[in-house]
Amino acid sequence: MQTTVSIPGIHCDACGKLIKSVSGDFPEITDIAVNLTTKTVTLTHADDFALDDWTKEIEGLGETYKVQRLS
Amino acid sequence: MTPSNDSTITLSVAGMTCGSCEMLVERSLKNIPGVLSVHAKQRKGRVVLHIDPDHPPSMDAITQAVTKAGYEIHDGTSAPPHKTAHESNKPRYMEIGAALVIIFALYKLAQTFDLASLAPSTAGSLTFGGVLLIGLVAGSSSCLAVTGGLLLAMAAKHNQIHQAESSSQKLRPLIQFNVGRLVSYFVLGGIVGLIGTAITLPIWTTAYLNIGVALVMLYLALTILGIIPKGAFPIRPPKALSHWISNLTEHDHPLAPIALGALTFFLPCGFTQSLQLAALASGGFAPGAMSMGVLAIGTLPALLGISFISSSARGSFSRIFLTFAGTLVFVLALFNLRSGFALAGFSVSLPAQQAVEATSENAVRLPVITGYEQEVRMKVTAYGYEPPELTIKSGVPVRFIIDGTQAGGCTQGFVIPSLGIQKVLQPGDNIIEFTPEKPGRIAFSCSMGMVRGAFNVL
Repeated sequence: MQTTVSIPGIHCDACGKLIKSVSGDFPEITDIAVNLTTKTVTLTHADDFALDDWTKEIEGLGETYKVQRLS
Repeated sequence: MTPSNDSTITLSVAGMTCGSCEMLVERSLKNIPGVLSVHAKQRKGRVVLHIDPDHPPSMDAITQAVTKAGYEIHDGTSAPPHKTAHESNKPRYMEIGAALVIIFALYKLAQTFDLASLAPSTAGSLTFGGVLLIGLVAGSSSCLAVTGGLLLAMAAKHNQIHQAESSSQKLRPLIQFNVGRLVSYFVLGGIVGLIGTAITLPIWTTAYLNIGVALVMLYLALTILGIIPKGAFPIRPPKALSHWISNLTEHDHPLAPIALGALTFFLPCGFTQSLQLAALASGGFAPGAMSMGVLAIGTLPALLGISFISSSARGSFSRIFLTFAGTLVFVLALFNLRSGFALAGFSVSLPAQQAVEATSENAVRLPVITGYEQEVRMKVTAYGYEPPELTIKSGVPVRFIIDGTQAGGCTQGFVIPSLGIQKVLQPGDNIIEFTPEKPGRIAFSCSMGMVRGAFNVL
């Protein structure tokens, strides 16, 4: 299953790495792709993945990170 | 790397350029056994680790973690932070200088082609078409210096904080600013028409409002240009004030830009003031609201132009935009600061201005004394006051006749701060009477403090 979210606060490579690093704490996530140009993150994950928890973790990193679900 | 004492380690880490980098480094390091807490400072290129002295973490693990995150550890804390990593945050004085030269050249060019006039002709009847025209002129002339400068400062600051946002997201606060401005003009214009009194603040309030706006712009300009780091004031005003300023200008709350836009109604712009007179003469909410609202609409093209350009700035253009906008805001801030001081009653003349005053023949023109009073005349022209300096005698009542035929826009508002005199000039002769008590200087200016002059009291 795939979920794509938009995080407008992404502005550099470090942001992408940071998001990947946080995602590492979620074993349900099997793959993650961060697109710096479109500021989107595509997650490949198991069905029982809790997007809300992940969103909470990401938004907790800083106030510029706001997760908007695209698909 | 140096263990400064038993429980902390300071690392010099190169490559950290933003808040995300700090967090990434902190995250990478804090899970290493023996590390109690991590504090990364991107601007200094330092990372401070608090460690468990009984079970110190392995240096290899630390180095590995930092490298894996994409950063580099320098040996020795005294090593200068990596140059390239920090370049983006250093003030770019060359670019700032270039921007200054361009702005000065543009100003000179505008002056040559008679576009920099402080009092563009706004003659004409006050039909809504006429008001719209006044707005158009106001929006692209002296009023732009303050309102436009404020908007530009806000836009540039927003772009700097939210580099990642799309154009439409960057445009949002700027639209909010304009909406706030429009609504406040409309509503307050209506109120003016309804109550039949112009809403003008006392001179000292507008003076401090001007100075306040100028200081906000100055602060923003300096932070945009990276000359002072964000959140750091060279002079430390009360914490509450600096917080208020930075909150108002950097906060994402939609009310902040709206409030800022609404506040522009109270900026003592001559255009606004003369139209307030028209609004109050209209004697009703609807016509008053319409004329002020239409004025604000008239200023929209220029302000929206700034908004669109600044929100569509991208990539390397965005960086140039930031530098240019920051420099422009800086210049405008100084300009407004001087105006504010003039309104507050301090006579601040720059050397260049004094030279002009000294060469004008009026310096020796003595007042005509008729019976028990003295009469002085002054003309308002598109370039300022003629003569800008008047000589009067103390103790004798003064009949000050101002020819306001050419007064327009900004120069329609006339104030003598120290005497508490505030007047909207009408075409033809305007008479102000007062008695100077003692020798000295009495400064006067237009309501924005941009056009200045003074009495020399003997």
